[in-house]
Amino acid sequence: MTTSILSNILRVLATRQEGEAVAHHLPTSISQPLAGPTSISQPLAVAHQPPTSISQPLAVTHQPPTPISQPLSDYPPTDRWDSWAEYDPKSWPKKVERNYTLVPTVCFNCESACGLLGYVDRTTMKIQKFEGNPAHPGSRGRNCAKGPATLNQVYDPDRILYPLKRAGGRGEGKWKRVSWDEALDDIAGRLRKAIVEQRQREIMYHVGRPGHDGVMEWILPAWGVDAHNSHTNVCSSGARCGQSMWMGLDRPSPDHAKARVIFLISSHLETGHYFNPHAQRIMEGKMAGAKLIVLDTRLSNTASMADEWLSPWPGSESAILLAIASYLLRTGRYDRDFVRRWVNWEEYLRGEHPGEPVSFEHFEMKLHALYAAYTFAFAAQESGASAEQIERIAEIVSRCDGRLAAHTWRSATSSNLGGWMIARCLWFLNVLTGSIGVEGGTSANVWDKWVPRHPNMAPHSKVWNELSWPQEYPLNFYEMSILLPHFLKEGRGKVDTYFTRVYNPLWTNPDGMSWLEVLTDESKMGLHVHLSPTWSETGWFADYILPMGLGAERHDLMSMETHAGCWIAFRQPVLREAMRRLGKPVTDTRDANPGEVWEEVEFWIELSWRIDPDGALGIRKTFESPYVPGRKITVDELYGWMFENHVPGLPEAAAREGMTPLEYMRRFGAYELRSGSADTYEKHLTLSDLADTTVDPASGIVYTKTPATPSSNITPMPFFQPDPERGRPIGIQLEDGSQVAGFPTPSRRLEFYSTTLRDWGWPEYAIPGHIHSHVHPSKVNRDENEAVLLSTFRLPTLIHTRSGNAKWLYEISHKNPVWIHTSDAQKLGLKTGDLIKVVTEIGYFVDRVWVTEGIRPGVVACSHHLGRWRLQEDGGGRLSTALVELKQPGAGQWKMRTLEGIKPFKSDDPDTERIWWEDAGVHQNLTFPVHPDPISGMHCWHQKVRLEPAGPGDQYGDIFVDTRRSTEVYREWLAMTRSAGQVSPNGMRRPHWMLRPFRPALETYRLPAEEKS
Amino acid sequence: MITESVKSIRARQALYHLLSRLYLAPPDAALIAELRELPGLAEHIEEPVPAPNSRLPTPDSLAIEYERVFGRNVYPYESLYVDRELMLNTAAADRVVELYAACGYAPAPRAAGAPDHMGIELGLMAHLLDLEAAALEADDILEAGRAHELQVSCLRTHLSAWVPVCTRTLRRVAAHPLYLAAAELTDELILSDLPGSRESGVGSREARGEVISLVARHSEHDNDDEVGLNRVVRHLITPDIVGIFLSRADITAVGRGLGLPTPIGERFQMLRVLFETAGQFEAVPALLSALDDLLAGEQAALNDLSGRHPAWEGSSHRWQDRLAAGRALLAEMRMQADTL
Repeated sequence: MTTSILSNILRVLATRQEGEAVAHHLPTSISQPLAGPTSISQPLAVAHQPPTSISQPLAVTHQPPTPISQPLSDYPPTDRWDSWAEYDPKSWPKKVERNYTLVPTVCFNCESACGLLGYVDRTTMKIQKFEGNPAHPGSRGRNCAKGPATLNQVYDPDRILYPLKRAGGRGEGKWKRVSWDEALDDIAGRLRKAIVEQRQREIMYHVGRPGHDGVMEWILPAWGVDAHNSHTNVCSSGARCGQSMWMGLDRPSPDHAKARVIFLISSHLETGHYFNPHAQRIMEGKMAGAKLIVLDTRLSNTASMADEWLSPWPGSESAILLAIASYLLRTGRYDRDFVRRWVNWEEYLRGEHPGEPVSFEHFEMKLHALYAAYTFAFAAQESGASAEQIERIAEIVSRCDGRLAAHTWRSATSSNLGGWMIARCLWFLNVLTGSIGVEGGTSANVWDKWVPRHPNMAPHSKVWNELSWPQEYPLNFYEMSILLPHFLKEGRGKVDTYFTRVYNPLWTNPDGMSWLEVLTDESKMGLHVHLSPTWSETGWFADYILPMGLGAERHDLMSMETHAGCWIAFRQPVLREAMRRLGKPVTDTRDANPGEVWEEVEFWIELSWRIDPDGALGIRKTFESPYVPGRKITVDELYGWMFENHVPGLPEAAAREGMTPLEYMRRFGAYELRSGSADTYEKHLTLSDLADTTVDPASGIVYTKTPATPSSNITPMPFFQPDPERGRPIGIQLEDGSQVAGFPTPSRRLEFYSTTLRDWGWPEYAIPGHIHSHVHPSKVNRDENEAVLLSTFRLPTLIHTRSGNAKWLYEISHKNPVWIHTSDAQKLGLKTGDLIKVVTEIGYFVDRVWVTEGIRPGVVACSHHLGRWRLQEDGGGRLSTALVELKQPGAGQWKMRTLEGIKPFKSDDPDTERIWWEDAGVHQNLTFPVHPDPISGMHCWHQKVRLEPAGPGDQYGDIFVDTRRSTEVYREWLAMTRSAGQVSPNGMRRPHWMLRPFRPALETYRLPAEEKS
Repeated sequence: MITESVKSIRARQALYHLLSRLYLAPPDAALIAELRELPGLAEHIEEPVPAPNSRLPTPDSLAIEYERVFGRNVYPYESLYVDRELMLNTAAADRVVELYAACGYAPAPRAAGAPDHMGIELGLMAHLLDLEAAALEADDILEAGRAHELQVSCLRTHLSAWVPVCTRTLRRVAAHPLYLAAAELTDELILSDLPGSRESGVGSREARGEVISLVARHSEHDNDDEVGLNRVVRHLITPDIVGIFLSRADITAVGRGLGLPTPIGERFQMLRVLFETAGQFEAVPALLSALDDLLAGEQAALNDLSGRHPAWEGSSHRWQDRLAAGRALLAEMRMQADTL
């Protein structure tokens, strides 16, 4: 290149000035200088073309095969999904064409419900691969490693293909194949007997990852039971509690993409709830200039991407958040109008400062005084971070301009005594900055979630299950699942029929050996039915193992609050749908799935029908077709009815395509109900709302006597029992006279001051504050080699138990060393790869160390995603489990030792002979006692541990546990509770308004008479 | 009636606009049609229907080349060249946004991932030239002068401060002749427009000209080999320290030249693993020499460029100083390696 070429080009371009050519291409406006079809205002249109609109018509059948030579595009266009040709990669260099039908479904690995597109070979009817579904509004065609790995799970050589029944003693490992009919009749008969004998409390359904919306809310109430038990208190009770105390709703929905400041107490760019949909939008936000603040004790991948990463001492997060709040108050940089309009400050002043002026200015004065002590220096002292950095973060937050997208779910809120308060303090920042329910702010999940009403839904059950909802925890979120073994051992009840479904408590929960002890005791667990596509530690101790389909083998409906918008997605068995498209008859999903693998929706319908075959118990009617009375409902009828009647806009969208709503969902896999933020608490009450209303003069709450009409959206909401005189609360009249919806709280406002906490025994925590965690620095003696074990972090490519049968994922991640800071390692004389003994309150585990500066001194960390084991060589799960020996050296004492790690084996899949890794990780959760937070019920995962170099007799993977000691620790934590029997202000077990899954009838809330005193 | 002056301004405006689009996205049909009209670029665009067995690029291959070059190797953002955080949207991007605001320039918010993308900065020049030409056509001399001053500011403070080093990366990485030609044309356009009356440079920063010692600035933790290597690798991938943007393609090429495998990953990881692998095969001195050769080549290229464009000499010196510092770092490492 020389200047002459530059001159030549300029000469040509100048010549064009004589004509019109250049003007045609050049900008005409200052604000859009380069607008036009080729302008830089849309420069990436080609590289990042959005998926073909799902509103475009789609040719359903009789398409000619797609020619392979196509322009480059991100995804196959939707109008070619029925017949899509690609070359077979395994035949390379020969060009062998394969023709596929592309079937959308939904990933079932984590909770995000990302869209998948199954490529089904039209000739062989095999699934070739999974890619992203571009028509899915949440994931937008993008997936993490776990989505495509669904293929491994479908073709896992160790998966369970037939119903199995225990043949020997529990845990003996002897099984026989039984027919579905035999299993169904046996289980249904037992359930029917319990229901008829009024032993509904002895039925329990325990779920890990639900992976569906609404189905169990349809099934279990029909049985008249309070049987639902969840994994929530090993996961999100803390976050739910903290958020619910502000707004009645328990879950955040941040609008990362349009935020100015993104504040994460999590590792959302790599793992966690909705991480894939969130991560894409966090990066969009960052690319648009948003600042990313991350509080994470570990240097996670997320922390490494932050503008400000702060590594706090575990549990000190609330001190940092309150220091930021204090700064906003001190400098006057908070949204005064929003706080005045929406916070229940009058209630606070009246409740805590009676006789003093009830004015907002007076409240501001009190507020400043309340948080003046939360200085940067205080937060620095508590957290170990620098005051300068905390101040810098406060300054960034202060400039968010009402667009603060904040998120916490597990992390600190699930790890600390009082962790729920961390979520409450984070939400405090949203309140002070007015960043709630607005573009770029944080919403409540229910505003962005849609669960369609199911047909013939049964009324609330008239049973309260104290094994899940004990009186000691009147404010818990939600079922106290971790305490079940202790309650059974204490004789609080028994479980006659126990379903575990995509749940592995023996491995996932703390104190797994206490689980083993009750799972093997038939006097405590009558019949254990394990619904699972794979082997697991818990399944090993079941009586039945019923093989249920994976993400590509079942129907479910899902809606997740992944961003500012609202969608539903339809999981469907891809082979069944492919068979339907190709005109092959299917009776139920078993016809399409491998072996006799079924799907749960059809299973539950069939089981329910067999519990009440003649309809005498009133159960059967729920499961009758809404189209043909008296006939058993089919899955097509179930979903078709919901799509036709309770998904606004879907019938019209489908009609535009010339389809029924069900056909539309089978074709595209998802439907977007709304894009953008919802109109929520500021929504004006309509004229019809305002008929027959009363406004409470003191609180401004608007009541109506008009009965509520059943909502099409059955996402759980707080519920306020109608006042006999004024009716039900529907909104609030504000200072300016406007009558709007407000928040579903007792005050209809954001509750800075929680009268619920005040009235239910915890007045000291009624306003946001800082609670010393059980691992506060004052409780950890580092001179004695004590440390905090951070045990809650995930590995980006794994997901609890469910990824154990994905060879690609285990090849990537198969070890979970203990992260230890260089200074701590030096003190113990350890270097990377050395063995360490981590001593907990009830035992110890032996693992290797990874010496790093990516962790705070005094804190060690170990991911919970590894350490799978099996007790017999042929015990299943050989891709991910170590073969172990389990001994009982004394009463309550359990010792586990690894006999061999993962090794290659022969199977139908030649890859299993190519396994090169041996490590299966170490199962640390076995050595943790339960730590139920006395308010939220959250298991507080952090452990105070003692670190020792491993001794000569210690081996990698060794576990020792004493369950007698775990019982003692359980009792120590139980003693911190304030039981409903002692503190209930109204004779109820729990505040009736608060969220509660599977809410039973009002009368069941009443405490038994002897407890009311 | 269009004056010669306005014609010239409009021609440069059109060229800035064209280059802007060329860097921001793979060329579409409209852009390809325009390129075909321009001498020096037209010959790099093939006919619509390639002859059988043609080795000329197809439009698809241009799209693929664009993704390989700008998606995975050459990251054309000012933040990566003038700041040391190795991230997008650093303070440099904030300064660019301030300039855009002063110029009334409002590119689409997420046009290119960050506002300091080379294509968007070139688009600013097109915008300012449009303002200047329009003002001249309206006989508004004051407005034309203001637009011209803003161009000078954009060229001095931003474009000339980093683009020639970025286009050096582009020249090392690109295989397609269109992008090679675009790189050279960009340098020529910017540097021929750069006034010589004032010294250019990166904002108001002082030239550093520092030598990066492996010893002098060690903290106590740096005694750990792990930490020391991390620090060295981080220095070597920071243009503001060593004067070159070591792309993934550069690292792969160095590894291949030595017969060492390099992983696919981010630049830090790739270079770190390359050092580790070189250590295993006792090839660290050879690796250091190969990197030194790369830096020496850049020194020569920048010398040549500043020789042809004296107005750029000030900036060139700064980049030369950085390259010298980078070579000194490599020399010091070489000494240490030799003594082991």
